[in-house]
Amino acid sequence: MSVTRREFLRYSGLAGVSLSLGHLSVTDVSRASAQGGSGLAPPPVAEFTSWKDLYRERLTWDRVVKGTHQVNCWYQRGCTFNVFVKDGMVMREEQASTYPQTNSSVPDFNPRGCQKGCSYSDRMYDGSRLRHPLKRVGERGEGKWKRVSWEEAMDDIADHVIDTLRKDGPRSVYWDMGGGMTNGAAMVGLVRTIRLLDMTVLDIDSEVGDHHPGAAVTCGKITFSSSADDLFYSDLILIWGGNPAYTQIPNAHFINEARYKGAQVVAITPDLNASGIHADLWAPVNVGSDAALGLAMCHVIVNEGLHDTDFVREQTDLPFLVDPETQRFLRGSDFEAGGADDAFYFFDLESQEIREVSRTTLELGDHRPALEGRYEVETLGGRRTVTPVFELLRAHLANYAPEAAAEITGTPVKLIRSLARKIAKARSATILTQSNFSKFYHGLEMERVQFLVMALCGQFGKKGSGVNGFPMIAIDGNFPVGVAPPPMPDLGPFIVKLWKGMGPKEDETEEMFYLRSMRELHESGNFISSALLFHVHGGLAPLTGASRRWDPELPRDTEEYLAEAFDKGWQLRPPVPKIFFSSGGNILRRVRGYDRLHEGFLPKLDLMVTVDWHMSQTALHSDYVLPAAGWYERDDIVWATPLAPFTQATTKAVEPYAGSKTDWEIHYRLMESIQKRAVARKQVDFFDHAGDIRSLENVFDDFSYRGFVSADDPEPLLKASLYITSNLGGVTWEELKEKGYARHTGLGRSPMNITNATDIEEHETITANTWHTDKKIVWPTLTRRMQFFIDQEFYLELGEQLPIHKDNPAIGGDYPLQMTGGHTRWSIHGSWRDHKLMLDLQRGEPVMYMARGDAAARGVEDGERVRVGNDLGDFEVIVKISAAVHPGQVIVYHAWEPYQFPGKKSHQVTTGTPFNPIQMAGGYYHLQQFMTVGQPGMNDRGTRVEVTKLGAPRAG
Amino acid sequence: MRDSRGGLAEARSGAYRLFAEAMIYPDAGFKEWVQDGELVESLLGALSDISPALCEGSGSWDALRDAGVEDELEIEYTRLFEAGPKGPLCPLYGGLYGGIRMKVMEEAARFYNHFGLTLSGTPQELSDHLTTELEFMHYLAYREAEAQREGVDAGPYRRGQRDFIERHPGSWIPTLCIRLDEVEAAPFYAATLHGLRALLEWDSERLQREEPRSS
Repeated sequence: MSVTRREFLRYSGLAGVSLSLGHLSVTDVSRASAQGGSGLAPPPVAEFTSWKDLYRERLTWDRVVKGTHQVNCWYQRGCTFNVFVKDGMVMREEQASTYPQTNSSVPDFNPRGCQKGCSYSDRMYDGSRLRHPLKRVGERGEGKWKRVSWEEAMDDIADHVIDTLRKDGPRSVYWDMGGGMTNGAAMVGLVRTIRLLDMTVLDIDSEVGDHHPGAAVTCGKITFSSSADDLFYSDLILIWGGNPAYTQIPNAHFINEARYKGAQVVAITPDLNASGIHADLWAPVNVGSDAALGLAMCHVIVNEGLHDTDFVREQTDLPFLVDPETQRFLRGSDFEAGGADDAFYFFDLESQEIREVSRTTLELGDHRPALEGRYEVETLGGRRTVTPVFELLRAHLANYAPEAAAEITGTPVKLIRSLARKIAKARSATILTQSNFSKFYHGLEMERVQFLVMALCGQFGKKGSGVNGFPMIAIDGNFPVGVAPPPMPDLGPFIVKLWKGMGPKEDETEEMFYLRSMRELHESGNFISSALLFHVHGGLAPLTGASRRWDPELPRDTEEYLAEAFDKGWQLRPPVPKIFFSSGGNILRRVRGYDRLHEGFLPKLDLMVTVDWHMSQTALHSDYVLPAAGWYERDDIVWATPLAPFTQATTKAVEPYAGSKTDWEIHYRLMESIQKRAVARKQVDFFDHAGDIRSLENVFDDFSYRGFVSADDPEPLLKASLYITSNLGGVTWEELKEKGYARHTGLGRSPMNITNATDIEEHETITANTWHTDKKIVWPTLTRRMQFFIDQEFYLELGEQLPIHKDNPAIGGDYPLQMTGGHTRWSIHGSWRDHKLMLDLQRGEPVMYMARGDAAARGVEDGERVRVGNDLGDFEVIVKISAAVHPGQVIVYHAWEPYQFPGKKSHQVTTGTPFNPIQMAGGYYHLQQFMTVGQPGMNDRGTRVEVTKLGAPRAG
Repeated sequence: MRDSRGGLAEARSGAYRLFAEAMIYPDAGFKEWVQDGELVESLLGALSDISPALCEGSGSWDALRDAGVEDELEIEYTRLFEAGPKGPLCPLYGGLYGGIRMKVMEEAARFYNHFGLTLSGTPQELSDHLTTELEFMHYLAYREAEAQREGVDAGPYRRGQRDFIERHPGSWIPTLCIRLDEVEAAPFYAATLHGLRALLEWDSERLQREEPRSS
């Protein structure tokens, strides 16, 4: 405060009082001179009788702009809102409901938006909103902070970064973007920072358990999905492992509408969840036994001859010949020295000869591959008997007769048979997308089996059919802008250069080309699995590496498998962390066994910086907390999914609140400080990971495209991204901003999009994978088919060459209850978890759902507090008794912050989360890691616990 | 009590402005202002002109001379009002103490608009933040004093203050004070906000009496 201001504020009855406004200003410019106490006559004021005069103005506002939410709600993402602005504040929002109907025969997408989105303005102005940069002044986690200026914060952080770049190397600097990824300015900021400074980005997909390992091993890809309105063509909709009433709120109406058209909806879940209650049929299944259920259905389908022979022959590896003794495919290398390891064979019933399968097309022509029989072949190793995978499968399925499987699954035998027949006979059956099975220790097998059931029945490629993987589609112009060298006007030639000379090799499909590009990019090491980081450097190894403790059937220790995977280059070894930027993530809430990070990870960090809009659990333990702008306070582009194939714009309805800044500006300021400090310190050089010298002298100039883009106006980036985008119908940023969304017109040139493998037509619903089923383009797997037989060494060692059921291990110890979870209805990850409006719709604090009988056996009544524990730890929570919960199951839904529990311990202190070594496999064409795929996953479903009554809930 | 034409309103205007200023983030200049005793002396001067009874409890007012050592006051301000899991311990936003937040914010903004003000000031604050609300009270009282001096009807300003106190700061500052006591807030902030609560109560009672609401 200046002396002048202090003088000004000094009160003296004699001198009178001056008018001094700070947060408020006089509306009428002519009155402005009155500020400062000029003594002018008071301005005329409208009569004021009471506050009711104001209420009559409620439906007035200054302007309405389009907005959406950059939160990672994945399956349900993409909802345009009208955002109402008054006096520089967002007053409310409402669903825009302007989405077009794809065609007159299917329902439209309106309205899009859930209760979280509809209350975002309230959340944006939450009491926990951070307003200014904060610097820790006590111990980490002690909660002592003081404000610092952005310049002070950035210069200090920049000094740490420069020191680390020069001393420990750039890969010691990690960025965790959590679910905060955009397809616009925020992403460009991160990409440019990472590339210019050669830093590391965390790949969190397998850590959070969204990595769809079963899809990856079966299809060679995980990102593919049909549109939600495609469900209208289904006559059988399987909710198997998911809960769309919670996780796909804006899409769920399509399920009900399909029912009105005659589709049958079947929910296969342990608990009668919120989706199940709206289904026509609920098939209960014991926790973690879905693979057994699926294999039992396969048993019925195959034994009753219900399988779609033509589809199986054409699209899958089931006709491929295998040596039953070695459990390996018959390959070209079996016939001649130096022969191809990726040449495979089937027995052609037409010519009665063994034939090499085509690598370029799925068309069978005149051939009719055998699915059964045993055939003699002369190989370099002598005469061998080979048989189709299908024959092996049939024998394997003998272990899964419904009567036997029912013992595992708890599903009635009659229901298993009935379900199998339904799927086989359906005109068009589909399984809704979910990422639940990835969160099981044996989730890979559970997913594989889903694909097997549907492939046997030919339920792919037809409208309204298919298994939906991880849904994603985005504009293809954003990444090139992120990696483009300055200046921006050279962008056009750069794009030409970027793609020039790149393209599929002779025997590659477009999908294979992009996936190869992803794998090659991954080898540079910029993306590191967070699961592996926390295993190696985070103190989680006693959990993630303890697989044999709970899975005694595992032949070797996890560390042995992992060492092999590292040594063979199947997995990337994480560099030692020194600086950790949490920018969109929240590891101390998110990571299973997060409590171990306090001892194992944080002490290794010289600096921890969190960018967030509220004081998350991770922010609480950081050295700096930088306040992020809200989603209505920034211009940006948000990626989409084929479920609702509209890329969305969020526009700057109001200025960033108080001292908060957009992600783009934070990256901008950081890079500016790094260049400034490096030059001032005369320490501009560092070695990148390849040993080449890089300079910091112009690093900010490069970052900002030599000044082409400013800190507070990222619109040039958004305009450029859309200018070069090929899959959004040529929409400009201005048009996108005005309308709020645009429908995708194609997959474009993007590795993440391309694996949807389908054409997008303006007036057609989207059906995934039609390039394979209709155009007969091969699948991106080793066998170039949907592949159900995997002869990679880990698979053979673990007996998983064919899809199999394995019991969920007693992770956590020998305790009677199995704890599961799922995304909640009332939050998107942690973003609304402690939001009062959402808490008011629940119990107001963390809650665990429990079956009536299990509660009664422990003397627990509804609303009472319990301790939940196992060998790893315990936590306290209140119980909600629910008739919908499966006996033996307890449910704690996702993303409570630890600080919301007594003792600040969340349910994740009990999750053992052991790696399953099968997910470390590599060295096998499509079993290679790249971003989001092919890394060992963390898991929590079915964690064993016991519950002890504590008593009544705490007051308040 | 100052009873000259506009004198009471002027004193109230000054007091609200000083309370607003006392609740900004304490930088180095602020602490000097506190330690010099200028804040408390100006505040007590204004309060004594309003009603000497508001200056009682002189012991607690001494806390307004103590800015602590080093960063103590900044750290305390952050702990109490700025940041924490689930938000700070004692947020300074009225809408967090009752009612629907967005409606509280909106109504406050409409109060400001009605009386010719907008929120576009710098530094930016939300409409239900304590300092914004106090600034508005400072403004209304200032205009009331002006109107009285000029012989213009000051009724709208008084009724505006009556309703604004009742529906905004007067409705939540008492709860804030309870919370401050619960979390053992630094004496500086406890004394400031308890003093503010007393002023609001005194002012509200007077305004209700002088501008009774028509049935």
